[in-house]
Amino acid sequence: MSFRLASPVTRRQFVTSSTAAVVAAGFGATAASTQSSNGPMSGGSMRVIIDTDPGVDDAFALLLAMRSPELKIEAITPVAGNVPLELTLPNALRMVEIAGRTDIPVAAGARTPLVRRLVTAAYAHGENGLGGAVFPEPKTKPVAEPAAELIRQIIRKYPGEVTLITLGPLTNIAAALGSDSELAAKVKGLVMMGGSLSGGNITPAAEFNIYVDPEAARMVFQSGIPITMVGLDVTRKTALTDDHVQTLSAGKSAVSQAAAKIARNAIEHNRSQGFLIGPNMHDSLALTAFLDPSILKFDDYYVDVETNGELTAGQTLGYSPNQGDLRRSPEMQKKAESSMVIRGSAPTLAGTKISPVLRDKYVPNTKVALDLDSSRFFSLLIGRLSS
Amino acid sequence: MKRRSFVVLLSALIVFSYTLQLQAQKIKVIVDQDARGPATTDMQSLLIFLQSDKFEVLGITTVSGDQWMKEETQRTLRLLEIAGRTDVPVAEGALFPLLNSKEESERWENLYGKLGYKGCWSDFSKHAHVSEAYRAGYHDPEVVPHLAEGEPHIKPIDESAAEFIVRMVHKYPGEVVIWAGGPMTNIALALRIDPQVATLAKELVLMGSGMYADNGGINGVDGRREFNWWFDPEAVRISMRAPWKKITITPIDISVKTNVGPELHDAIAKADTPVARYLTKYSEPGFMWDELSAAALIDPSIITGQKELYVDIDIDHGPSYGETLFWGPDVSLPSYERKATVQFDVDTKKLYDLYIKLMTQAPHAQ
Repeated sequence: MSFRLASPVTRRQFVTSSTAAVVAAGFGATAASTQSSNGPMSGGSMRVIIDTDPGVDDAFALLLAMRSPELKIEAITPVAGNVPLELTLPNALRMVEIAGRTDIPVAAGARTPLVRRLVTAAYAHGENGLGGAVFPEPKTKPVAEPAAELIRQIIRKYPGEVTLITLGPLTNIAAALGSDSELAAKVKGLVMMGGSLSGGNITPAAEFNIYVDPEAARMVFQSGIPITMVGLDVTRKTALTDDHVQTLSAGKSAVSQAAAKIARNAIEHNRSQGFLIGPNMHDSLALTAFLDPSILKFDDYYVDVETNGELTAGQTLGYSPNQGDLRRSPEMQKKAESSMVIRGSAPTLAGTKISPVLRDKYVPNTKVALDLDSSRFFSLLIGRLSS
Repeated sequence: MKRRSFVVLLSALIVFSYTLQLQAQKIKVIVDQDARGPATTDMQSLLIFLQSDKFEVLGITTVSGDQWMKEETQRTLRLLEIAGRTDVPVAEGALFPLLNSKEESERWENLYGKLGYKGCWSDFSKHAHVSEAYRAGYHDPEVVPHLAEGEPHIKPIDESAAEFIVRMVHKYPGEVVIWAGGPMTNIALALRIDPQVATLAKELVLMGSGMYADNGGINGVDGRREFNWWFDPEAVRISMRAPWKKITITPIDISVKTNVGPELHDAIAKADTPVARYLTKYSEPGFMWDELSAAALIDPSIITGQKELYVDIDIDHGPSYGETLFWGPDVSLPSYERKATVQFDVDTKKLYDLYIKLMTQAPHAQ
């Protein structure tokens, strides 16, 4: 089954009409069906753009992507996030050089979030963004086009074919979508590392990627693009171990050696901070959700982003008609879904009794990853990097 | 070389260099507009740019605001045909503000009270005082209704507005004036696609914001809640904090001192040109919001009073979402707040004379 939008879906249509129900019903099949119909190793048929802020686990994910024969990587678009663009851009270039894939265009993205000041995570990724693992200065140059422009060009060139894999703040994607109202309907899907329905990391509410640019994230969640969200709910269940490092060290390829070096430094960094388990492989897991969705379990949600909270900006909220483990009878479940509204905070002004409704209808826009098979994930990750 | 041919060559060179010089003196401008039509303040300001020989219009970029962008683009293309300026490229811009939305504005109204004017989110059929050409009901973003002034034959270029802005400031570094007559979505996107936009441009000139709003604001709403800025507050925040060389603002405070009245209408009606006929048929009395901002670029002496103020916008999604923030020039503020030249007083006679001259002049040769 191949997934196609019958007609362009705009933000307004998406949030107000039932067109989106078609989207939601269809997108579960995107990555999985493409993969199974083409076979896992048929070679470079799944077009992706990787938007990233390397970043220790970004670097891992980039290496994994370049070692995944089913992907056709159309571009890598670094953005400011874990560290400033001055570092994420050369780090991305370093990774394409290590993997011998300098044929992949790398385009410089946004230096700052849409409206906020940049907050980085050098505390977790080291001052150079690679956990202190030092690699030579890259010789490769980025392409002339800015990231958002290149993203737009590629999606327009292959309408309905390109999946966006986002591993950092969503500034580049939001800029591309905002500047071209027809673009969202031409994107096949978006798989993000970001968000959480079970508490954040940089604040109790927000996961880092969404926290850095909540406004951009909100634009993306409301764009109508079928989204797969791989957030802290699952990524915090992944931990890199010394065994993984040993396997990588034994690998002969430059990729395996580079991955071993980054992994060793990252584990060391984690230990120096007193953590008892190794670093999470957030971004590689997001990429894996695209490569082999059967490794994770997903549920449908309408996800929106808090942009206004004094303490909670960047929190992802998953609206669902399901009440935890309390399951309803099928007909009551259907009723609950059709009558559910997306409700906002209670009014603050005296005399107002209307409960602010953000959407008058529940329409899922996101498949949220809620569980994973960790050993299958690591055998895919370490297996591909060390082979 | 014979003496005579030398003289001919020399004078040809002089003429050529003079022409070049004239071309160089022209203001290279990108006109970013929420071009509701026909013959609104949006279109009349476009005509000022198209009719005046003071400008080299690099292109017109459209953005949703007074109307949805798709309809505006068609009306702009038709206007170019009427004005005989099909040489000017039109790039389609943002269809939606960055974060604000029709739904959010309705939620806001439920909490804080009715808004007077909501541009493309309004239902103009309920505005009894406007004439037939403008009394259309609300329509969806992609819908382009029948155009009373005629359907255009030309098309927009295959480039987004934000990308067009980025490309032009790189092509003519230090020379391009970006003029914004509508919400600032395209400009904000251009700034985030390429942060060099602000420093490469010559100047940002815009119609937007409200400070003291002598006339009590629009339709009784707070004078600091001006439509262009209110429609996309986040875009204004991005644009106002960018490192432009210069920012000039035409706020509603000065616009409400102007008026397209019967005298202007009658003076233009006397001319028999496609532009004059278009205006005579469709133009309505009203404030010269955008025309004033465009005309002051041609003749700065139209502005008789201005202030240097720090200007920004409230982007908290509460009761003051989209309201103008401003401070005097001598206060101590963080470095990200930027000063702008804000126009407050106008020589209306100069403005009206210039406007009539431009709107009645002989048509451009096609």
